[in-house]
Amino acid sequence: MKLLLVGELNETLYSLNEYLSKSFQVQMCSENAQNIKDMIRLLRPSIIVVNVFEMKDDVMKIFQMLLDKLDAMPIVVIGTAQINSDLQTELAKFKKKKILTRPLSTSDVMKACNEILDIDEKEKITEEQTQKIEKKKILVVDDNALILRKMKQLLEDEYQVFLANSGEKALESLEKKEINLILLDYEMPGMSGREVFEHVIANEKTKNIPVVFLTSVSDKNQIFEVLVNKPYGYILKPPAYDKIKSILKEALVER
Amino acid sequence: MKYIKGIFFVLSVLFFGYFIVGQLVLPIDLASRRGLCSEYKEDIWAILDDGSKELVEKVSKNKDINVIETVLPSDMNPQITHFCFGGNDIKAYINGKLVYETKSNNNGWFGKANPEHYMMIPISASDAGKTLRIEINDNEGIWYQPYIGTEYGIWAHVLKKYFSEIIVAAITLILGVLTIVVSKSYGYISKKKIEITYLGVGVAYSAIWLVVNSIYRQVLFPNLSIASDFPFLMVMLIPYPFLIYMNIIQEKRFERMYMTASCILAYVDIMNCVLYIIGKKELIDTFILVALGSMVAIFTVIVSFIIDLKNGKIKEYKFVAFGLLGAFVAAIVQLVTYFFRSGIFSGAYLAVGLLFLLICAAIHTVHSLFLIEKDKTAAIMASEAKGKFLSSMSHEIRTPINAVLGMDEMILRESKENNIRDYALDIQNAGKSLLALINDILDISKIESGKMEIRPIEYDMSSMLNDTMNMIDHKAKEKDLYAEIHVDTDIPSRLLGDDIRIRQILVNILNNAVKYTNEGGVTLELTGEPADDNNYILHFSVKDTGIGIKEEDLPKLYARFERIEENRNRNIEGTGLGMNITLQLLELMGSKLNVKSEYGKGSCFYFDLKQEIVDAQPIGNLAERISEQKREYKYKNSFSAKDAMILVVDDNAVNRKVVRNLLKDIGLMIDEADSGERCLEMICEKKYDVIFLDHMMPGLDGIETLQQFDKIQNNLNLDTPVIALTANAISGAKEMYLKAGFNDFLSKPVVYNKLEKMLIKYIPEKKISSVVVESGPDVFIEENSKKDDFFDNIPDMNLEYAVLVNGNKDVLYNTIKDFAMVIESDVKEINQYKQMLPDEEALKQYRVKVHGIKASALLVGQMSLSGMARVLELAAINHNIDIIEAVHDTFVSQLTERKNQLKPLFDTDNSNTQDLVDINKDLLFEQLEILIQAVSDVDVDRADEIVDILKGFDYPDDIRSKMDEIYSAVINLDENLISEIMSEIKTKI
Repeated sequence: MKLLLVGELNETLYSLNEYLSKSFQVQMCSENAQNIKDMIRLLRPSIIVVNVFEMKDDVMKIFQMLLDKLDAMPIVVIGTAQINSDLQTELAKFKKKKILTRPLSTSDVMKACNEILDIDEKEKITEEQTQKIEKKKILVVDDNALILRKMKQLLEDEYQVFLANSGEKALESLEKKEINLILLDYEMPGMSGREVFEHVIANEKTKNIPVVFLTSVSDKNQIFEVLVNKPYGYILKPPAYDKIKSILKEALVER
Repeated sequence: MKYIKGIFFVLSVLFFGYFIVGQLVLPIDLASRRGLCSEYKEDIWAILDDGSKELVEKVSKNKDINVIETVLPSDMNPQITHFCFGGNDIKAYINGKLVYETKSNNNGWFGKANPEHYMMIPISASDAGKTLRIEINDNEGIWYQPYIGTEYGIWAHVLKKYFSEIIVAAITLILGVLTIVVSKSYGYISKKKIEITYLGVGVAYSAIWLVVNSIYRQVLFPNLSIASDFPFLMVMLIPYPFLIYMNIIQEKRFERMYMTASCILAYVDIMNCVLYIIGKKELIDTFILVALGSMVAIFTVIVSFIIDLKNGKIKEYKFVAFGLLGAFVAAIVQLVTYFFRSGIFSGAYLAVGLLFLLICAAIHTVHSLFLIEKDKTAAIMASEAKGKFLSSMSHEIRTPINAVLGMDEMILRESKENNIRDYALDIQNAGKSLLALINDILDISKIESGKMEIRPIEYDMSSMLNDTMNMIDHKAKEKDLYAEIHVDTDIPSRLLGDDIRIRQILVNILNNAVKYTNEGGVTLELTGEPADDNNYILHFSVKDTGIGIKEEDLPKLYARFERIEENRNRNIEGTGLGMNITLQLLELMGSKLNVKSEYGKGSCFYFDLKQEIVDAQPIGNLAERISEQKREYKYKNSFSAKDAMILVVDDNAVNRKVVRNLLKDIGLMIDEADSGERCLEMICEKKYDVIFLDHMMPGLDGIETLQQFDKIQNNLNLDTPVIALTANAISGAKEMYLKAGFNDFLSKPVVYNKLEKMLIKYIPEKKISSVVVESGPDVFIEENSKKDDFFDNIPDMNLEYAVLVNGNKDVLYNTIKDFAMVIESDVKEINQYKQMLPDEEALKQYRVKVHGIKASALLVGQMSLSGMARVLELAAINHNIDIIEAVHDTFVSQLTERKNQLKPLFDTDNSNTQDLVDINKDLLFEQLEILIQAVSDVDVDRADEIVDILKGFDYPDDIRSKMDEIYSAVINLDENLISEIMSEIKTKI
């Protein structure tokens, strides 16, 4: 389900984006009438969420434009009490709408979206969420984007897959997310897989995360350099899909 | 105390000084008080039988002389009272008058000999110049240097002369006895035999022999004739303990030689005794034989030394060898002095030699005891370390083995040459058995360190037995053996116990049975009876028709690492750990393994287990179901139903997998649910043709789930046939399920042809086609006809490999698409780096990039491209610019060609069917910023979604090409490149 998220492109919008992405395919767009118009054509969203941050001239234009074209479009408006009352007359004309008043939590927005879309399967969404939470988090580190994309596609069904295309980004992700397992390439420009691994071990917080090397480096010395630090596994690229799955399963069960 | 010490020291010096100085300086004042004794200096004449006279030596051994005469000196000291003479019984006359006579008693066996001793013939000053005539009775041929003087004086002289001998002999005796006492008590305490005891006995006997043979025997023992026999008997005994000792010291290497020597000795000894007892020969007459026997013994020891010296074993008992050498030298010195210096046999040197030997042997014993002790401590420490080591080692060993197996798999995948593949398969087998071995070792170390736990959980007896038989089945088949199972029908279906360990035990025993069976087969039998209301006793037994076990070999079963009849079974694999683990596991479960075996006919291993009953439902005819299932693996499926949808609901993933595997060739679409609750959700989403619903599940069970079917809204499957899956196979079960609303029921373990019948019965006819589907290799399970043509159009592609690596064709399709998209930017990049060569940094970047291309190309089965990339990578690693120069251009042109071939295949994807939107500069850059953020976060999904949006704009041609570059950069996740291109676009718009 496509959702257009309109608002000033700031932290609030990004975090809202992140949250809504759990159930929707979200696109962000700044609060500009022409942009919104074009985005609606490009994206063909099922629902629009507008975060009215400040009452500028544009805002009025936006709603007029929307009313002009899509008065039947489900819309969720997030504004302050003041703004909402200013917009009262415009908003009243939308057929399917939810008007939310700040302060509120991101889950309120989600709830409003579901309600307005008449999604009875509220349960389904929450269940999906819980499933997502239960899914183990795997970080795939590889400088080869093709491999990252392939691994994501392969593992997405069973795991929550995070990607990093450099050692530095991998360490960043490790800081932010509670990763359960790392699939790590050996040879990368900048920080090598081995260095990443050494960082992982050195860090008290991450040292227990199983690390599986996934690499086409089959040079004996390099392999032994890595094996000294006892990674959970060492798989040669390109790996058979079943093999990766079984190793991951094994590694995650053992923890 | 300091003063006291000083005083003690000064006084000691003074007292000893007084003694020594006094003895040295002051005149001798004891001469007269010691009595008189001087050597007899007059000539002694032998009176021969014919009456003629002959001058003789004063120390003589002439047996033929029976009478001697001498004229006493005319100027005799008036104090002289005796003439001393050593020898056998005599009669002494002075001027024809009998003055002295000795006569030994003949006691028959007890000393009828006539022992040598010192005799004192009384003389006085008045006898000066008279003739002393001595008639020797029974001359044994020895008499000693004669003395004259007072009786006391002569004795004092003689005893002083042989004092050193008796002292050394006494010390040797004491040390010998001490050795015996100490070694015996140490042996008693430490429950060990200490070999030096024998040496102690030998040395003590030798010392006794010396004492009894010395002149002191005349002073010490009441019966001289027996005392004089005793040395001969001692000499007979002495060699034995030495031989025994040497035999032990030399670790029985020369046992036969010593046995032979001892037998000779024993023969001689017994013969001598018999001859002595029956009175045929005196001990002294046969002594030469005893001596020869001893020589044989000594000779064997010398031979053993020479052999050991050759093979270097002598080092192991170098102290003893050294001591024996010393004793040997001492014995020779002793003999030399005996023959050349004095007629009296003295053992002083020999005693010193024996003492030396004893000390050396003691050093040897202490040394080896110390070593044993040290070894023992080391062994204990090693054992502790071993446990720790083993448990921490699992990871270390497993990881490299996994690496080996991984690389081996690469060989198996990439090599098409049969012999190479055979070698690789061998490596794989070996690697897998190595892993199994490590698991065994870890189990053992777990058991030893007490960390092995038995964790009882509820388990399904039929699946446990089924798994067990599955694990043994193929092994039996490999050897052309049957593997049968007989199970009592009233065994409870669910029990509480550690099923994993029970299975391990059964598999171990069965494996063992298969190993040792060459024809016939193995049978697993399970019977049992209730112990009480809650518990059941299971009798497991495994019978085979193998080679059996000999009665005497049975205990070896229980020993670790031991293999029965090593020679006969040398080609049987395994470490022998399996049985040991089995025994220990059974012990942990409070049971024990019993064996009945008939050698050559087969064995039967059996044990009992008590388990708590969870579900007392009888298990039914399990054996038949299992064998039926086995038979059916051979059947080919007879129909296909590609469009049919079925749902399998079971909490046990293995059971779901079994159904899935059984049905994989039919081409059904199978959904799985792991609980009744999940099932209820899924029936609202899809319409299924058949639903298989397990009865026993945690949460909602099968019957409860079915009852919910009518109650929930949106149920798309109200009229779908629902079939119960159950382990209950008792009669009446079917009725129960039909009553509960099920359409039918299937008993577990699920059997293929019943499942097939069920499907044919319930899947709508129009969805079934009777085509027999050829089952291809696993790789092609996931059919996708739409895309098959597509793959055929790609040149130079190893499809089989690419599908294997990508998991399925859908993923592969996307990967190829991505690959096609990134080639352009990849080429650009390597061209750029190549121009900067031989700059070090550029070379490194070049290497990393071609390494990446190598991996990508391999990913999409482009073997030759990947190979070229590998050549370039190696060249870069080795700084071989020439090769890069030579190959680079070809590589780039090949890549570009491949791109040109691939790109059009995806153009249909790109052509946007929807109306293009006029370009909105503001929105474009805004979305590009969001895109860069997404790429920077490596959020692939979001980035791709934005790309989809961006494709909706209607770009002028020059910008469109830039946008294409951006799309490839997104696939490549290169945010820097995107920013660069974005600024370029900005200048153009």
